[in-house]
Amino acid sequence: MSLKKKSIVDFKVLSVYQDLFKSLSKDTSPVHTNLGYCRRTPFGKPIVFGALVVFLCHRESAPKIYRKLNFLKAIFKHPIFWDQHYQLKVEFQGAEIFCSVKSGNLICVTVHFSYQPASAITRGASKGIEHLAYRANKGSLKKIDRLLNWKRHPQDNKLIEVLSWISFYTGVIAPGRQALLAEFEIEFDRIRSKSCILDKKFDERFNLLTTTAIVENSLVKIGAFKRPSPVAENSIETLQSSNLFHNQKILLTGGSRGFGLSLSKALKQSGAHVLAPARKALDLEIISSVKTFVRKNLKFFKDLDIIILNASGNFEKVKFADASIAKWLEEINLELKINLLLFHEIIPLLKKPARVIFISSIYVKTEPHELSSYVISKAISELAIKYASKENPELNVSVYRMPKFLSDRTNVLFKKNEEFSDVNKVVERFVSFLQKNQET
Amino acid sequence: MEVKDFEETMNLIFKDVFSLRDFVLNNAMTARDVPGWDSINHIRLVLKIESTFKVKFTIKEIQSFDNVGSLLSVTQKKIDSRL
Repeated sequence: MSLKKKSIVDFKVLSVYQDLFKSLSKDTSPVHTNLGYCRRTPFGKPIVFGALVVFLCHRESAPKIYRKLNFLKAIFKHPIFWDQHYQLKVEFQGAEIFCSVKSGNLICVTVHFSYQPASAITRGASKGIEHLAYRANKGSLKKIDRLLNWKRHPQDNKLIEVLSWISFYTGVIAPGRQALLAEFEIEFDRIRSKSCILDKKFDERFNLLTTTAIVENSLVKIGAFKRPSPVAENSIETLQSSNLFHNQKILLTGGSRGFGLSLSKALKQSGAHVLAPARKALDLEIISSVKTFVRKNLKFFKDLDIIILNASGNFEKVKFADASIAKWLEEINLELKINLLLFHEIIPLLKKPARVIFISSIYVKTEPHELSSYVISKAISELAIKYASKENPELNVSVYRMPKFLSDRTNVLFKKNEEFSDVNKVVERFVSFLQKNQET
Repeated sequence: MEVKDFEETMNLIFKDVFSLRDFVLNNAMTARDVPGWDSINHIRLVLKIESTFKVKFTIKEIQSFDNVGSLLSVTQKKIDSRL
C-alpha cells in the first residue's frame, strides 16, 4: 500500500477514452457519445461513462503493492463532461481509499475502494430472475492499457468486467434504455454463482431503478435514474437559418419578463416583427388603455400573423393577511383581463386568419404560492379564449403547455432551487412547436 | 421505539449518508446546515430511513421536509402508526 496520505491530481477524460470504453463495455447509450442527441438533453453535452470514471480513479489510486479489492462504492452526484478539467482527490486511510472528482468546490463523483483480505465466498448457486450472458470486449481493453500506459494487474480483470457490465446494463439493458448511474456498490467474490439479476425495482417517486445482480461472483447493487427524454431536434439556431418567421407580425403579451422576454428576443432574432405591450403601459383603466394601444398600432394588427397570449398575474409575495387588497384587485384587473381584452379588440381587425397561441400553465422554479397564482390566472384566460375562439372558427387557436423545468437528474426534487437560466431551453421547445405548426 | 433510540439511529443514518464523523442532529437543521445534503443525498437519506425503519413516505411528505425536525416527526408518526 502506498504511504502517501493524500494527493490531488488533474483529471480530464478525453473523447478517445470514451470511444474505447464504449467499445469495451458495449454501452451504446447516446448520452455518452452522440453530440447531437446530448444537445437536446438537459446536460447539453456528452457525459463521461460513470464506470469509466471509476476505472480511471482505480488506475490513479490502486496500491503499488497489490492487495485484493474487496469492496467498491461509487456515488454520482453531478455529470462529468469530456475534455473538461476536474481535480481528483485521493485519500488513503489504511486499507481504504477515498477518491473524489471535483469541479471547483462541487463534488461530482465519489468512489470508495476497500482493499482487504478476500472475504469468505458463500457457496451455492443463487436463483436469479434473469441470467446474464455478457463479456466485455478485451481487444478494446488492450488499447486502453496502451493509451493509459498502464500495467494492469491480473486481478483488475474482474473489476473491469464488472464495471463494463454495470455500464452496459444501465445504458442499454435497463428498462426503456433510459438510465443514468446514480450509485453502485460491488462486493467482490461474495457469491459463487452464475451471473444473473437477482432483483429489479423502480421507485417512481425518484425515477430511480434499483437492481441487485451477481456478476463474476460479485454482488452488485445499482441505483440508476431514468434518463430524461431529449427535446425535439429543432432549435433557435435552425429557426434563424430557416427564415420561417421572416417579416411575420407577432403580438406577444407578457413579453417584458421571464419566458416572454426570452421568446420575444428569439423571435426578433429570427426575423419576426414582435409587438410586446409593456405591462405598465396598460394602466388601471384597462379597457380604454387597450383600445388606445390597439388604435396606435392599427396597421400592425391588421396584418397580424401570430398572436401569442402569454401574460399572467404577478401577485404580491407577502402573507395574505398583510397583502394590500387594492393591489390584488389592480393585479386581477390588469393581468387577468389583458389577454382577453386584447384578443377581443384585435379579432375584428384581422384581414387574414391568424394563428393564436395561448401559453398555458407553466411550471416555474419559484415558491409554490406564486406558482398557484400563475396557474389560476392562466386558467381564467384559457377559459375566456376557449369561448372566444368558438365564435371565430377562422382562427387557428392552440394552447401550448410548458414542459417542466428540469432541476436536476432526478427531475423530482429541488425544483424550487433551479435558476431561470433554463428558460432558453423552454423557448427552444416552444419555437420548435411554432415552426412545426408553420410547416404543417 | 424509545425516543432516544430513534434519535440515535437517525443520527447514525445521517452520519452514514453524509459521511460525517462528528455530527449531532438538531431539529432546526436544514439541508443548508448539513454538508453534502443535495438532491442525490436527499434520496439516499430517504431510502435509508425507509429501509431502516420499514416505513414508506409519499412524494408529498418527502417534499414537505423543510428541516430535520419535520423529517423526524413524520418518520416517528409513521413508526407509531405501525404499532
